[in-house]
Amino acid sequence: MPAPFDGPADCDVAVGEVPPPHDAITIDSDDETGIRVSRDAVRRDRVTFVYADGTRFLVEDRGRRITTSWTSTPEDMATYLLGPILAFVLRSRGTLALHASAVAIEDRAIVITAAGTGGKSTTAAALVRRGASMLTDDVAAIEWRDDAAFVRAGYPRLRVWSDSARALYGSEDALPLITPSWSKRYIDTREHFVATTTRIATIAILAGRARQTSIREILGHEAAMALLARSSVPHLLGPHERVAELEEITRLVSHVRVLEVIAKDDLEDTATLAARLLEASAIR
Amino acid sequence: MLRAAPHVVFKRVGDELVLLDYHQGLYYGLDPIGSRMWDLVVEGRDVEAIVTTLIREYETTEATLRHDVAELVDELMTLGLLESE
Repeated sequence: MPAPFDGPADCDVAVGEVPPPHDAITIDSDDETGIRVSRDAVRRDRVTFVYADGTRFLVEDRGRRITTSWTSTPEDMATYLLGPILAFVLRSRGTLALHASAVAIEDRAIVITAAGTGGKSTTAAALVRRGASMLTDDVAAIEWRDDAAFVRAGYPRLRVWSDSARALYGSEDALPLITPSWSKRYIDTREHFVATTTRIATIAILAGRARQTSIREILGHEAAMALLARSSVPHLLGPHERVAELEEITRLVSHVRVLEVIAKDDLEDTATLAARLLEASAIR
Repeated sequence: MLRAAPHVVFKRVGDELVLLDYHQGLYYGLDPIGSRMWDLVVEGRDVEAIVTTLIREYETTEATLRHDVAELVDELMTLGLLESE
């Protein structure tokens, strides 16, 4: 991680044997993705993630210690680790994390979230090409300072599907694959990365596609409900964490502008979408 | 008498409310008038008192209000968000 830290590490990741959970309470089991998440019934701070490709994680003490093993590739393991596993660690420590990307324009951030494959990383990439700095992809951790909402920097990669790679760079082969076993590619954004926790100006929610781009501000319960649907790993939260999430999201929508974006159904037009977003965010 | 179910938490956003049923992990949004009705319900007012209060606050007919309050209460009871004491 390139971000400078001025304190001791608070998350120790080790490669080692992850024993199958026993006496475990299943938190999540998804036949489609083949993921199983379970909590140790006795030592409740131990949560085991087992992926269909054999990758395993044991997360202990709210992520103070993570042990992993894999049978596929280290790139596959790292993809899980930097995505859902660290999102789970953040959330179990009480930090709100949105399933979102974020970029910075000078000292203000635009957080971009979407449902599923809604194009948040592609839009972030288009904003970076227009001069924005890269902050994070996939997991946007929210932090409060003096009653203002900030987003933490992540790591300098944006992950996009092949069609986005073609739209942005003319050919999918312009970008390397994240792992040999997955068709998703990455953009190395080290040159445009800022490792700075940045105050949020706007959260843009990519809500769908239509013939023309439209952007409107949403408020109140509509904004809160839209963001609640786009938090990271909500299915892994317990009741107390859900209550904390509601508190955080309602606070967030009271402090930052939330935009609902219907994007033109044309990936080639992502640059125009980026310009419209900058305009609507009142950031030049 | 009606009251919020014990597994329901609600938070205000402006003049609207978001309700969480944390047993189900489900969220619900209420618009300003729905939120006002909820506030009156959890203050312990019965349907009659809610209608009497809201008729002073909104430009609508008593019949419409009575219908809307009954419909919302019914829906919230069905969803398990409100319950009878």
